[in-house]
Amino acid sequence: MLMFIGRKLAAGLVLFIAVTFVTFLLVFSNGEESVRNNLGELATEDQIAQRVNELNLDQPVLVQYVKWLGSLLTGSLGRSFNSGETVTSILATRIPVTLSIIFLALLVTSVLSIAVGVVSAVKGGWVDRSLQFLAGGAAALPSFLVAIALTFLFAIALPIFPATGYVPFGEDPGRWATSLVLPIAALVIHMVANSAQQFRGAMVDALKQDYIRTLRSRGVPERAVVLRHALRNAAAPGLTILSVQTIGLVGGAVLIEQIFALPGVGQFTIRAAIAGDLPSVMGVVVFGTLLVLVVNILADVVNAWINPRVRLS
Amino acid sequence: MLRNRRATARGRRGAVGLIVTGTLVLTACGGTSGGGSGSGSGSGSGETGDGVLTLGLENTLPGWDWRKQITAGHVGLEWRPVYDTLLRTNPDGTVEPNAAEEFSYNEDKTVLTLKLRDGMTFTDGKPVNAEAAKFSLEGFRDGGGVDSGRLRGITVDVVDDMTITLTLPAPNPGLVSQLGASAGQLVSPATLDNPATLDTQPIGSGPYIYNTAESVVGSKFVFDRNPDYWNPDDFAYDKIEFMVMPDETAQLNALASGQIDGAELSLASVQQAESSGSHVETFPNVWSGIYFTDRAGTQIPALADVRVRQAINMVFDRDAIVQAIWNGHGTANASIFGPGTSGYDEDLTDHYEYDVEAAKQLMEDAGYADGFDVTLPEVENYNQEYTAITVQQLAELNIRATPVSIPRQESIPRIVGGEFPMFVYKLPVNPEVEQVTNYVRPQGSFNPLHNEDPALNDLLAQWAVADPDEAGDIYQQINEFLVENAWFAPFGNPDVTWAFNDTVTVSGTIGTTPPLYAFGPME
Repeated sequence: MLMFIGRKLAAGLVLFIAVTFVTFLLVFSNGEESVRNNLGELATEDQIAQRVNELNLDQPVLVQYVKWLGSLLTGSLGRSFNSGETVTSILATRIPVTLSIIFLALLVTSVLSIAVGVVSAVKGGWVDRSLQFLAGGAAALPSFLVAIALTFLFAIALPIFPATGYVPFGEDPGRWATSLVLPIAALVIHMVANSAQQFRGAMVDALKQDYIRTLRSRGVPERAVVLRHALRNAAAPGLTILSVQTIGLVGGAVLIEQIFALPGVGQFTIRAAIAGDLPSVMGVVVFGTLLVLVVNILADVVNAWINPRVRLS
Repeated sequence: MLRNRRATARGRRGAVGLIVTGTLVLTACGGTSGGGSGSGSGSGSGETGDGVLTLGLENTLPGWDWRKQITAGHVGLEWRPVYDTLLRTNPDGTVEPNAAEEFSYNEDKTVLTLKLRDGMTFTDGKPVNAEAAKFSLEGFRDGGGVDSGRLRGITVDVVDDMTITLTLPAPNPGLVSQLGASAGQLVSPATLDNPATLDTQPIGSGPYIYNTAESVVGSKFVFDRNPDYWNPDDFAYDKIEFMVMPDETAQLNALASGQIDGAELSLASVQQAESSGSHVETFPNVWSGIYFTDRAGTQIPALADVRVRQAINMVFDRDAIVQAIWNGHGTANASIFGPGTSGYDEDLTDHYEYDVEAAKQLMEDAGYADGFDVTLPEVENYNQEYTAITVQQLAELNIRATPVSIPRQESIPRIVGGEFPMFVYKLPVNPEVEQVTNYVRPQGSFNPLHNEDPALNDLLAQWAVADPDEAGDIYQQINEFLVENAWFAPFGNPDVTWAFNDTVTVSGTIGTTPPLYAFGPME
């Protein structure tokens, strides 16, 4: 198992360097233009040249990248061109927001999609058909529309939840939870619909297997057959879908953060990109790449844990 | 002492626009249509309100370093609670005393003397005096910020403990209005003692104090009333909160559910806001239309012919644009001076009738019946609808206009770099002094190819040294020249719109930005 994790980590490191290097090249190849935007149209050439020099933007991109990577090893992502704050301190306030969204959305999606998938597959009949029909409809709903509808219903018409904004967990866990209900709901409806179909399909396949029939013929209780044996085998394809969706969640979170005015990484990314705030853009890239790597490794590990065949392959 | 100076600038509607790029320097004071009372205060005064004012704003200021602050857009509102300004610039373009209780020019308008009020202090306890003002101004001038050019070439001297002089390289009618904006901020000289807190803990002398504990960087700014501020009566609220909401859907939802008291909206959202019970205040403080940058014809010879520029003015049905593009929220206007500014002349607003046949005749007379080729910068989410209609209407004159898509952050640098012979944009109309400073003067930043004309230069020479009381007449003459010579092809003034719940309102905007004192309770 350790070898397995080690291999995944090594591959992840290579991917991390490749992704950050390519983005760095793209982002920093036109550093002077970014300074020009930052300083405005009344800036003189001297001011621009001075700032370019201060920010080391006049050095070869490769040198800049090595320096950036070096300071990353010491835990520094540099300072925002825009606000002068360190990128790590900005991300420190924003990552908890985005991770709250992603983590909760993933949790809710897992629980609901497994529940719906299992019930559909086991019950069959009209229950299955109704759930399938609902899932089909929900999968077609764009999350921004769901967000607008939910806000109108549960924040404006019936003021139960706040329409916008975020309360840090440390400040007030209750209000933290209520501030995330609508954003999470808007995000997961679509995801549950997709994942539940996957789980349902995998469960239906698993329940047709010979070993299930054997288990039943031995008198193993139905509950154990479904939850202990069939679900375990059906989990692998479901998990893969979930991990892919988690990565998709990062994109979904950008949109949801905008609509609900949540001060997360997504909102910050848009602002940094528009403002040409290169160190901040790179900070977000680091966060995004690490998130994807961690999620993929976790999914592989969990998969290997519940299914020994994966470990050996 | 100079009072009631009619500074002008034209309001900008940069709403979503220029914002983040921080480029647009044009800020804007914006005459409200009724004109301001000149002296005195905005609607905030009068009521002693004790509530909290919560606004949804679309972006966030770039840290608290005063040198980086700008006047335009919502960022131009965010530093206002904390940093007092030397003078006050009103939406109608007048400039009046503020932290400086007196200001006056010498005879040839090259030395401005400012005398500060006694007894003002910064929140660190240090006095607001001549040394502090010199520190603030010089820091801003040399700080490399977007607006720093507003003080370029100006020297600051301390005369006595409470008096400074600003010496100008040449007369600059726009300076006093700038001292009521970002260039006039006052900060404690201790601000630079600790670079680590420069962007997180502002030390000003403004009407409010930044509440670090309740604020969340990048998403929520909270301010408490400054008990030592010299002029508390002009500010109606004891507490101010700015919620950062880049998305208009979030602003509308927050407004409808009572989380915020007000927000600036796009014209497309006005109806939705009204239907959910908000009241909408509108101000004609931006203009949009075509800017000709190549009036000398160096890139496109045809543009040097006034008949060609006039013909272009005649192929736009301005009333139809008001209805179709602005949903009726705006006014047609063939001049760049907006209602409520002293240069505005209603007779000039319809100087160019929509008449395609007559326009074609003008093109033929000028020898350009076959038109010409031109590229237009197209900026996503900013001027696309204008560019589209421009391409379509220019085709009536056989002018083949090709839109070139450029990222928003590149738009202003490339436009003011002179790359495009003409472009379509929208910018503030107030204070009107900014209009002339930026768009009309040969050295104006939005006159990148430095077009000039002897008759106009005469007017500009008078404008540069005119007393505020006499300036109105000169603005009118400048307006007349610009319209008759078709220096621009303006479409009109789309409304700047702010929506509020039933407890708050605003009395005016400068461009798209209301002065802080303009917010107050509904009557």
